[in-house]
Amino acid sequence: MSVVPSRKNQVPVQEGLFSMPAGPGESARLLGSRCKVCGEAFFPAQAMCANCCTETTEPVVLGTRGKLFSYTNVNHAVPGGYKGKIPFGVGTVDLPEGVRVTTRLTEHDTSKLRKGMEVELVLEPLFEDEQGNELVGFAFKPVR
Amino acid sequence: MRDVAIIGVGIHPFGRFAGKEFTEIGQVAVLDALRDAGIPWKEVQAAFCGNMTSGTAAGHRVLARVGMTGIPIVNVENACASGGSALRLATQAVATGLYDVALAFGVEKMPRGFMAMTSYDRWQMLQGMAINPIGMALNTRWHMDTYGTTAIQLAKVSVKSHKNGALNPNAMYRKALSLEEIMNSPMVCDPLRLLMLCAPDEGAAAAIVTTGENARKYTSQPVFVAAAQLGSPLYGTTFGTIAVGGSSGSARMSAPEVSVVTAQKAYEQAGLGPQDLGCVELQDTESGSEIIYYEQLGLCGPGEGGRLLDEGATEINGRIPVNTSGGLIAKGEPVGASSLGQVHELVLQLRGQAGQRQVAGARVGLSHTVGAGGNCSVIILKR
Ligand SMILES: [Zn+2]
Repeated sequence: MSVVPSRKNQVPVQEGLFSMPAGPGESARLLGSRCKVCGEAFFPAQAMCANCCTETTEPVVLGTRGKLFSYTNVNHAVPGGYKGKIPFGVGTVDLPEGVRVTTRLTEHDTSKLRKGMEVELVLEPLFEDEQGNELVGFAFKPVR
Repeated sequence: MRDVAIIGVGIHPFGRFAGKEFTEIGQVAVLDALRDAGIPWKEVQAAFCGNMTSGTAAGHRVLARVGMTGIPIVNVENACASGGSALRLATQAVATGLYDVALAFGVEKMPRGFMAMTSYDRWQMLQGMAINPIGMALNTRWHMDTYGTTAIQLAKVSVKSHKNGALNPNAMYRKALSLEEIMNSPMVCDPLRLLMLCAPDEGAAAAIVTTGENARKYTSQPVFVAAAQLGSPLYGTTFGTIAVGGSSGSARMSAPEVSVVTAQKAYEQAGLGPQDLGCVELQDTESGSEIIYYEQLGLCGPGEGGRLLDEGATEINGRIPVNTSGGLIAKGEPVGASSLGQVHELVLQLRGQAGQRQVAGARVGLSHTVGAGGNCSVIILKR
């Protein structure tokens, strides 16, 4: 994977959240699930459909482009073990499968963000963990 | 089911009290409520304690020093709705005839700074997304985009809260602030600025309930629990799923929000509607929430929340006074106690004991809390 050139060992924030790019020119993909009965999609993947309340979902690889539904930014240190850059953007993104993902945004300047704008999935190095690995998360980036 | 009335309320001021244990803070509120009701501890038959951060058996630790009478004590951790959940359990215990006198109280001594929430998945924490203002900012931005709500209207909420808080001896912040001071405070999560947010703090509040019939023996001014409802979000709401850490939402559905559904159930239980309310205490975690909940509780139509502020309708002397206590923005949020703090304010208002904050002629009041997990408590009180 080549998120950004780096000699460090890169590890995802959690296994099973997203797939690494399959090859050059390929993108990472978010791994979700979708209900075979009602069609609702979920991220991260879950066995039960929260709408039907039955075990009726199957894995689905989610689309990499979506539309920004809402957005904000974080301008101060946060709890929970995060040691990455500040400020950063956060938004909710509607993906083609009908799932609304709460996600980091690469853009934190809210004057450059607007509801409905097209955004695409990227992987983002976050910070070095205690084992010296570089943690990698996902974010959405405005499509120019 | 029997009618249930509040015969006593108590409070330990909300604020920061270095060197004071949560047990002592809780005891002050409980003893205050016993004095207010005019009953000895030995008459209380069951107790329900709201608390989030004090660990195992918090309620037992508070009450063991009040008196060890062998009564059942139940600890409730339900985030912002903990106190409301405790009062609901106490009310149900009396309504069903299980007990005749029950205590509900909430107590909290919050760590300083942004709440280090455990209600998110680890991957969200590692991505820096495990802080509460994010979800509230996303909801507020959506409201601004959808209805044209402005940053000035957000600041007006905070102006009102601080103006009311200055009149409340139990509030943490007791100083009026100007619109400019609020608009010039640092941006936390756009569009929410520091002085638009409530701060975690310490405090406790308590209420003693008995049957409507018994209540007259203790007080000439019983306040009846007309409704006590608790709910969690339906799948497919615009707001609810952000509150449930680790889960996504639906871009295809727009189910009714948890506050809308829970308030509706409360209005039905009470046989009352928003037009009957004389005072409201609602979950103003930050000023965007206050505007959004005006609408979700039916105080105005969708998108009209900002206008209520422009018209001054929610001021103490307005058409529908909201957060006369100063709300969480001025009182701070001792999570387990905040809901019963609202009940304390409403009981004072309905008895005509709210001093400089007194609303003229209020007969019905509503308490609303909503928080982590999307849990939502709505309590309607009437005199
Ligand atoms: Zn389904």
